Amino acid sequence: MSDAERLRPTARSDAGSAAPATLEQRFAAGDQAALREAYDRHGSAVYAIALRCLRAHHDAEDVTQQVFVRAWRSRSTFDPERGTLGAWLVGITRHQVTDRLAGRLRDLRTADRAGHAAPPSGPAPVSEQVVDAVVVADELGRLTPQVRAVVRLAFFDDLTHQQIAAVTGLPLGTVKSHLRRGLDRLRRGWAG
Amino acid sequence: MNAPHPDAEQLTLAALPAEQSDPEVAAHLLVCTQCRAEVDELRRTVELARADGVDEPLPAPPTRVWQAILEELAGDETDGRGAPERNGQGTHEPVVRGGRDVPEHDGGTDEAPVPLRPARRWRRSLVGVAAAAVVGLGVGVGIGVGVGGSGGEPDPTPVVQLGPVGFADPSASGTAAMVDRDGDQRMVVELRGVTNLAGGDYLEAWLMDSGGSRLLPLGALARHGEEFRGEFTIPAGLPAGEFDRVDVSAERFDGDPGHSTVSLLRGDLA
Repeated sequence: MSDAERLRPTARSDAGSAAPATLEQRFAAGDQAALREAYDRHGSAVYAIALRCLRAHHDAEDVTQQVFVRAWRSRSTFDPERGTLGAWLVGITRHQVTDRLAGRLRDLRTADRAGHAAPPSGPAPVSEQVVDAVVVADELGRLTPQVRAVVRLAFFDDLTHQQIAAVTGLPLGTVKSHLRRGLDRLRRGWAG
Repeated sequence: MNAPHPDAEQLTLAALPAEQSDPEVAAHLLVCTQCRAEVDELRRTVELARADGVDEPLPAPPTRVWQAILEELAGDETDGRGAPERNGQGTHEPVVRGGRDVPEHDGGTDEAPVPLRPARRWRRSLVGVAAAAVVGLGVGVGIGVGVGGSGGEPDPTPVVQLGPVGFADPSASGTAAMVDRDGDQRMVVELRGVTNLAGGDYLEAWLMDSGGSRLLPLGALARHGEEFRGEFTIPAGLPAGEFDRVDVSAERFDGDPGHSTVSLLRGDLA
């Protein structure tokens, strides 16, 4: 499909620049197609974090909406030099989830004033573990199929690299480099 | 530290749960904080992956979330650009990609993602947005009336100016014109200034009713340099009054035959 091939994203920010702008740069520059791409790329992680912290689909959808609306409105504060768009969106997600949890707590206290039971002490902090696990799961789903298959055998089936080579028929060196590449990619997802 | 650092693959193996410990690497890790920090991070990564326990790709948020984002941001625009329209009530869900995950009436369990109130709110305001988006379009004369070139070379007569809506480039413009090809009614759609298509997306033309609840797919537009063009047969006997709006959407090769909800240009036929 040559027509489809030519439908490449167009950098609209830097006039005449030869190098294609990254998603980060286009987002910061206000390219609206970049918002859609950012949503496609990071929406499921934002949604998963919100869902796991809030345990309510409606709240999680609401938070996801707010994260992207706020990100877009405050895109001028996003500096592509200082971090990835994904990490920035995850940071906004944390704030939104914290606000939502605090709001629930307020509601609880209001209810308590009219009734019974001691008010809960404070909002549960957004768990680092939950956020990082979602980011790793997100990256895992984006590995190339072969790398992902090898990593899964090591992570979830507790196979050694020799066993993985035997099971998959891949050369030992390929298995080791897949493990390295896969694990490194997952690590960069949460550890930056 | 006297021994050379283990290589990246050795450090990776040192972090994996099933691998046998390499005595040399283990000895090195005792004395080298740099390598130990690396292995600790990799081990933590493995733990995080295993802790999540869900070895499945994360599900995307329901389609209505993107719709709601567009709607909320459309309010930011001051130049009349609006959000793509969502279809009205009823059983047809043609405007919603993946509309199946929008249960209209559900038993109401805790699990059911059924924000009925917001859904209604989106629709209501989107009607207004869509109405605003077509203000200022050229006056159309309706399908089948603007046939040019009686005999000889068909001469497309512009009947509709298409203007940007939603997230289209504000400079995007186009026309939809009717031509007669040996008695067949054909619609020629031509666009310019669509510069912000996401990678891999293509443009598709539709006819829809002004409420946005009924859709007729026309087909994909071919790109010619900076312009897009498509020519589509309009079925004889089409109730033209019911499909009085031309819509151009950004679509992806996802196998979903429905409208992506990302409308870029629109124009009214009558």
